[in-house]
Amino acid sequence: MTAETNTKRYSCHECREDAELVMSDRATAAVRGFYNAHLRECRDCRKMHRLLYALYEGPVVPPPPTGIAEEKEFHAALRRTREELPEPWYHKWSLRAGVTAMAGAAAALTLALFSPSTPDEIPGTSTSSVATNEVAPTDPAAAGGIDHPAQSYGRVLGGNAAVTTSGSTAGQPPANTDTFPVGTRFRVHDDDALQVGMVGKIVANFTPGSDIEWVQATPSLIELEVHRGIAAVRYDRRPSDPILYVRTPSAVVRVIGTVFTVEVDEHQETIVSVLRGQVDVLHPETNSLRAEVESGDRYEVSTSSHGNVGLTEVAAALPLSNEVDGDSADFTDALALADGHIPNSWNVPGLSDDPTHRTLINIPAPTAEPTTFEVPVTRRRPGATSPVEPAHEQQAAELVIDDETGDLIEHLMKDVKATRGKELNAALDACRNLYASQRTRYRAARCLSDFISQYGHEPAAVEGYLLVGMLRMDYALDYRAADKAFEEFLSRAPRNHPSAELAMYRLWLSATEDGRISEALTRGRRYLARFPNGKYVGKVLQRFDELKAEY
Amino acid sequence: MQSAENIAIAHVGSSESPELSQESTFLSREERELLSRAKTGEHRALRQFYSSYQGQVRAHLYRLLGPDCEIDDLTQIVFARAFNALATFQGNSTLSTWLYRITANTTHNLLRQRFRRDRVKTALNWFNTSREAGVQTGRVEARDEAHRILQRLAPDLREVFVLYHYEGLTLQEISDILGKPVSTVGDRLTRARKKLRELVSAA
Repeated sequence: MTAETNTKRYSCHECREDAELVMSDRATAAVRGFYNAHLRECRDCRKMHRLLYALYEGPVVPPPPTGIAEEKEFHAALRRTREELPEPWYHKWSLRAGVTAMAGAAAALTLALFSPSTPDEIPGTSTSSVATNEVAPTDPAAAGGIDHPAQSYGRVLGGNAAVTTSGSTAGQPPANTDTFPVGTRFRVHDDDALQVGMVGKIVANFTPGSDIEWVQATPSLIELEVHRGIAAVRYDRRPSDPILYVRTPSAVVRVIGTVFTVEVDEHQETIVSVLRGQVDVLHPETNSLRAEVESGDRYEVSTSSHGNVGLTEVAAALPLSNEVDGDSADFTDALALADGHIPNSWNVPGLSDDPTHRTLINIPAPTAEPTTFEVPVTRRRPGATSPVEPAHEQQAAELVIDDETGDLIEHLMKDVKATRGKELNAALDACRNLYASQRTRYRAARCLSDFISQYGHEPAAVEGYLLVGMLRMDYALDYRAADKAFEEFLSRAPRNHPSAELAMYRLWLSATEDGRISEALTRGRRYLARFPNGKYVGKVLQRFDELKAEY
Repeated sequence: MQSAENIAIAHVGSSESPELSQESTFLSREERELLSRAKTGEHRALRQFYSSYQGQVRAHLYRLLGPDCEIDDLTQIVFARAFNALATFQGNSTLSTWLYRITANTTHNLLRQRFRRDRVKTALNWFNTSREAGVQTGRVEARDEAHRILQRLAPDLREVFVLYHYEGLTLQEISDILGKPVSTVGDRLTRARKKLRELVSAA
């Protein structure tokens, strides 16, 4: 029988019988040939083929929700978990036994007392979930932190402000230095600004004249209150991290993870701008959704109007721009830092995608002088006292950064000058100049990173590792990279190096802020054993009661 | 097989929860650790569990039901039941198989109700759309029509077809999920294919 005869005998019936074999790739070459030849000639079978193919291929599944939508769904599932919990045994028993009305009332009372409540909580704020077994601390200052109380602290990264700390930090006075607890209120000077890190996860820049309070930190919620001024915040939230609320007189901004600014102007009006990610703006009393603000948007709450993010917001957020694109395996890449350019991940309408043009000066329609907000960091004032005073109700104190980094750069300069020539000196000098200026200080991190990659092998440059690690930790919250840098320093520096204590302290701090508690305890013990009278002993003991007993 | 009732009875943090089998070949060490933490109700572990599997659950529901406004609700119900049932999970299957089982239990009655309720309506729509089908040529239209055809498949057959062809599970895995013998599952798959062929030919 010829192939032509076979083709003629291959009718619609055979075609439909073979369709499934062909689609599942189980048909022989000959059958496939007949099948395709028949399809070319038969319109009905082509249609059948197309339909069957679509059936076996299956639907195109839309992507699952991410960000806020995902968070909402998770919390809705948790709420349902509570609702679907079985009735307690005593309830069933009481019904089956047909007890008296009195017994029924007693059972109802028991249920009312012991059944888990199912309040209609806002997603993300649920702290009483049966599934999570969490108890929401009602006293902000007594909040247990994220996984451990040691994490519920903040640190000043740069700048000056008058601070008040609430008196409810029972038994935990913020003993010294740059560390502050929940309940701290910052009144930033008119000619200055303040940069802080909170719970090891959030970096914020408070612009000059701002009045901002850190109200709460629980495992599921961190809350700031902006009374006046601009708070620029970067929060690269991981799935299990708490949600951030920024409260103002006229709105609540709910944040899942993003870079954004919240401004409260002189008329107490709220303006929310988002550079990366998305935030929800809620009504301050009912918590109902007012608006979803996406990256590139500037939302004015009083008029419910949307506009474009402008120079003011970008300038306020720029000190938070330390980002590394992608995962870097290389050590020096991992330490790379932003260089003053606006990151590509920030959506600034009208700004070119060309990295060389992504600077403040190229942002269209300026709304304020950029220099007002750029890099608001100052050096320690000579003779300045402890930054945070012990906890007394409404006691104001002057907050000044404990400028370890500045001292280190000076020290490094001396070492380098003593050992190497002009080239190395010049490279380090450039970093020092960047660091010295209020406008360019955060860019010193990038400069130092380059310095390390070029001269890191030099014995005199060993402190560079420590410096870069500190800046990487403070501005980028990249604790792993910081750990690497500190360990590199400790392995290269002699044991009696004057900065060895700082490196060990920073290693402890890095593990603590990163939530690696057992590692932090080990590092804390190691530090205390080596430097029992060290200058950071107070800071270590402040965060870990466990270590106080051992000390 | 674990029924929907059983799932609802167990709850997170139960003092009577069975320990995970240390010899379980179905779970990796990381998964065992995650489950142990999740069983204590640790928020972070539950969140991680949810993040890891919500894509699977949602996609399966979509493939089973098509575009449907109830998918969000069903996803939440599946995870709520999973969270409540964590205490009873002993590690005798993979987590993904276990979640397919909960999904199947959650959707089974719904599918049957809908199938009975919409039978007349679907047949009428089918008649109308079949008359217009001659002018449809695009890929998207074919997908839409394929979805409509799939909805005409009886729930028992549809479940098996979706699990086998879309989720890529074996007959044995489907048998574990549905709690039916492998022979029954194989028979249902054959009947599903035959019925679909008929429906497509009639289109």
